[in-house]
Amino acid sequence: MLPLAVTIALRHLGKRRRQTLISVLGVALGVGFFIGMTSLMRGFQTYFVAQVIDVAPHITIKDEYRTPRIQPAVLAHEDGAVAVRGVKPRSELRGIRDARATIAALEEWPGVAVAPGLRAAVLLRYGARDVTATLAGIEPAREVRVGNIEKDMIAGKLDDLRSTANGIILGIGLAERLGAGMGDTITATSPTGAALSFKVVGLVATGIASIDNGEASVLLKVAQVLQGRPNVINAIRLRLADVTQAETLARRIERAYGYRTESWEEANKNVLSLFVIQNGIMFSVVGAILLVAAFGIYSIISTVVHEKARDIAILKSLGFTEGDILRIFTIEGLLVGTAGAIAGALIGEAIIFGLGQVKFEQAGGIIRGSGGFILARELWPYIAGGIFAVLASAVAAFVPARRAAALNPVDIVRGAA
Amino acid sequence: MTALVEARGVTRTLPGAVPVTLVRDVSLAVGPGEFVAITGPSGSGKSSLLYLLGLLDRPTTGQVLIEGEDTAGLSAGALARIRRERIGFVFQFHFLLPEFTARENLLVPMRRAGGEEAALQARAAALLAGFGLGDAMDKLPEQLSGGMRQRVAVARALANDPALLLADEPTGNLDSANAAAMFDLFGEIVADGRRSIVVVTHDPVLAGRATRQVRLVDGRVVSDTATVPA
Repeated sequence: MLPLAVTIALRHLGKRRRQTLISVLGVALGVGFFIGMTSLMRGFQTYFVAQVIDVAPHITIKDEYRTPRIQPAVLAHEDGAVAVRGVKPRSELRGIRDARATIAALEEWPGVAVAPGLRAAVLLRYGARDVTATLAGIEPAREVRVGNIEKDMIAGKLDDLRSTANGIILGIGLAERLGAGMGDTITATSPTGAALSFKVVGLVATGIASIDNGEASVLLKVAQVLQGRPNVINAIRLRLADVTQAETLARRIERAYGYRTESWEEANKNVLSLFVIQNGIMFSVVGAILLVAAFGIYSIISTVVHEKARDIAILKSLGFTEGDILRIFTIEGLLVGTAGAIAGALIGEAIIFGLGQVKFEQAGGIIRGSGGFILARELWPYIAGGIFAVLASAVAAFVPARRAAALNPVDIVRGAA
Repeated sequence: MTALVEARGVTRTLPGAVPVTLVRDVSLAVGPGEFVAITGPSGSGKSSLLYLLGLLDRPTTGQVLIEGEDTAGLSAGALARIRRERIGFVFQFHFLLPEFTARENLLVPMRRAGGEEAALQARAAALLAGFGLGDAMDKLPEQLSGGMRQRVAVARALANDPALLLADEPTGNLDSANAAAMFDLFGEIVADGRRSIVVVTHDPVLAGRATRQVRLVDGRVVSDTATVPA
């Protein structure tokens, strides 16, 4: 046995089936698109972040300083009005000083894996093709603990780097640009003019375009020779057991060693802030859809109130209170909103299913080889969309419902008589 | 004996640029078992007085007492409760809820007042059957004739067993046979001496069937006489 107010609300809506259906559909479309779009956006974003966390180090210590060192004159007169102008970041032999000791110290920290690297620009040449790339000198044994290079290799093995003299692993996009394949010999030229020949022993596809299209890896020693910077390490890469600690830890390291230390969040700030904008756009568009749907509910409840003025007078004469009337018409809005939320969840499912069926080649795009949209399957958009729809419906119905409750039965009865 | 409903010096004025006084200084007490007809020309304030007695409207000055209790200080909710439990309304137009069947039209106020569903169902069915509507219980108002609708409306007014039944031109839309039947019905309702009825009508023949006639002109009571039903 339904509560009386619900029964009356249902009868009112049942009498206006088409109008009710359209209102429900309006809400449902809003909720459905919200769910579909959220799945699409979050799917991509989550995948991207996961890839970034997976592929790139969580923290990178670079041989740079964020700000020029404080000058001795300033240090000597801490409270004095001393300013040294025109200070430039110190120019010294590039590379992290005492890198080996730093690595050893960092490895003592719990939940931290560390790998050294020398990263520098080179010109890769294969036949007549020249491509500039970042050449990363790595120590394979340590590298596997920090990055996912081994998992992402689509040809060759990481060990081949050690077993082959002057082996090189190319990003898949880089290999395509060069036109080189496994076993080909390419030439790398450093900015100082030194050149070495390398044999392609592996191909890597991480899914992140900047890496796949612009990075190559060789042994650290070889890179140091090519760059003419023996024993120099200019990047220490860290992988953490708890990725959420990256930013905190990066700040601690920077304070301790002075070198510019970037967490993965900072390194990908441009993309992450793009996500914020993307989400902002999505939520405003979907919010607008739901808002329009709410106006639809307002419209139907207003119409019902207008048409039902006489019934409201009857109910009041039968001893229904203003609260009862308010309840009846607010419930009507809630019913539309709830039905819309449920139908919207189904539409959302359908949209996700439909998007899942779309296949496309995304040559040179950010995500390689996924062949379609990456869709997130999360519960919260269903709940959030549903709650928003029900709340919006309640508010949209409440306004005309309050008007209904305030109707004076005598005015209506007089008007009818 | 306490009157079921009593008006004491009741005046109702509609505010506005030119205030309109609908009811002027009316005092009237209706006791149990009375069948009162309020008559008078159009615009004499008959219906307005009825709404005041039924607590649908509040007087500008004066008091309305229900079973001796002054209603002036009561909240809207308290007034609604009195309407729900102690007063039944019948209007000129049947004013049935169009989405509900005859039986459900009775059940709506009953459920609002509360009670065990089975008992309510039984009472609704008994009331309708008593009014010769046994076959029409599950029909919608639009499927009923004018006379039947009005009888459903009376049955609904009695749904919560109120002591006071107020009717505003209940026969206004009925032919003379149905109108006469309606007044017979009212006679039966007050016969047990427990309830009273106040009917607004402009039909002197029908008014003559009431036990008491109150005549209003320009919002004032000009005559208040007991009649012996024919």
